[in-house]
Amino acid sequence: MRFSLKLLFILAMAAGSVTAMPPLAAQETGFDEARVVSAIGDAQLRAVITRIGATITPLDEEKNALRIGYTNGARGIARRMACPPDIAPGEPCKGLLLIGYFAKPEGVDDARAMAAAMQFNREQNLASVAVSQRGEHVVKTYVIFDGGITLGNVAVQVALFGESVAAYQTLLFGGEN
Amino acid sequence: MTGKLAAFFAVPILALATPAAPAAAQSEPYDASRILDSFDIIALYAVANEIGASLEPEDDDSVLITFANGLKASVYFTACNSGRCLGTRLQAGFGKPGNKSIARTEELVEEFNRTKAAVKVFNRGDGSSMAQEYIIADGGITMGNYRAQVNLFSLMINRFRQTIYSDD
Repeated sequence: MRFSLKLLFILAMAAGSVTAMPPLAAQETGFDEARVVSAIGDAQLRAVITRIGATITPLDEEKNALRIGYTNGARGIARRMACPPDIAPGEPCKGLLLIGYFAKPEGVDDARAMAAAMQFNREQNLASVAVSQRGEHVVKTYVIFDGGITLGNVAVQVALFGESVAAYQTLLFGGEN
Repeated sequence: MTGKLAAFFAVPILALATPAAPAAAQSEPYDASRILDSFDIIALYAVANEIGASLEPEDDDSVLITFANGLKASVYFTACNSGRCLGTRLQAGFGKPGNKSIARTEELVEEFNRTKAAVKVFNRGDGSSMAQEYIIADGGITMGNYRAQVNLFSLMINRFRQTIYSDD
C-alpha cells in the first residue's frame, strides 16, 4: 500500500497543467448503485464520477488517473491502484487512491499550515492530509475493493472526498487548490 | 502487544452509539457476500471472529478490539440514526517511544503518513500518536470488504508500531 508522494505531486501538477482542457462529456455507462464490484475499471470510475455530477479530465494514456472537478469547486485526482500486472489500459484495479493537491500556500506561515494539517487529521474521519518537506499539502483517502463494495458506496466515498478537499481548502487558506 | 503500546485514547464524538446485541445474535455466522448497509456489533463480532480478533465492550460505548497480532484498538460506531450506524471508526493510540525525541518521533509519523494510504496516522503534540481508519457503509459494502478493511487496519498499525518503535 506504499505509494510515491513524488508520483502524486507529478500527477497533481499535471492535473493543474491541463486545466484548459474541457472536461469530457458525461459518459453514462449504466451506473448501477447496487452492483457489487471487487475492482474498478476506468469506465466504471467514470460512471461513478459522472453520477455525482463531477467533471472528468483524463491524465494518462494508461487510463489509471483522472482529474475530478467537483461541483463545490474542489479538484481531486482519482488514481486506480493495485492493478494486476500486464492488464490492458482501463481494466479493473483493486484500489482507488483519491488525492487533493495544494501547492505551498503563499501568505500562510509554515507553522500555521502545519497546524491546519494537524487539526484536519485530528478532526476529519474521511481523509488525511500529508505535508511534504517542500510545504505542499496532499489530502488523501484510499478505497479498498477487496471482498466487494457497491458502486453506490464508491460514489459516496468519491463524493465525500470532494467535501473533505473543500473543507481542507477552507481550513488551510480559504483559497483554491 | 508490546508494553510500548500506550493505552488507547477515547475521543468523544457526536452521534456515537454502540447498539447492544443479544448474546445469541453475536454468534451470527460470517457471510463474505452479505451486503451491509449499516454497522452494528453483530457484524463486527462476525468479522472479528473471522480474523482471530476478540472484542470487549468499553465504558464509553466503544468496543476494544484485540487483533491476532496482539495489538489493540478502539472501535466506534458513528453516524448513527434510529439504531443504524453508517460509520465504523478504528483508532489506536501509541505512546512516545522511549528511545526517541519528540521531534524524531514526529518525523517518523509524518513520513509514515506521507507514504501509506490505507491508514491515517498523526501526531498528538507530545510524542504520542494516533492511527485511524474510517469505514462507511453508505450504499452497501460486503461483509468480506468489512473484514478486509478491519484486517488491513491491524496490519497497518503493526507496521506503524514497528516504524516508530524501531531501534534506531
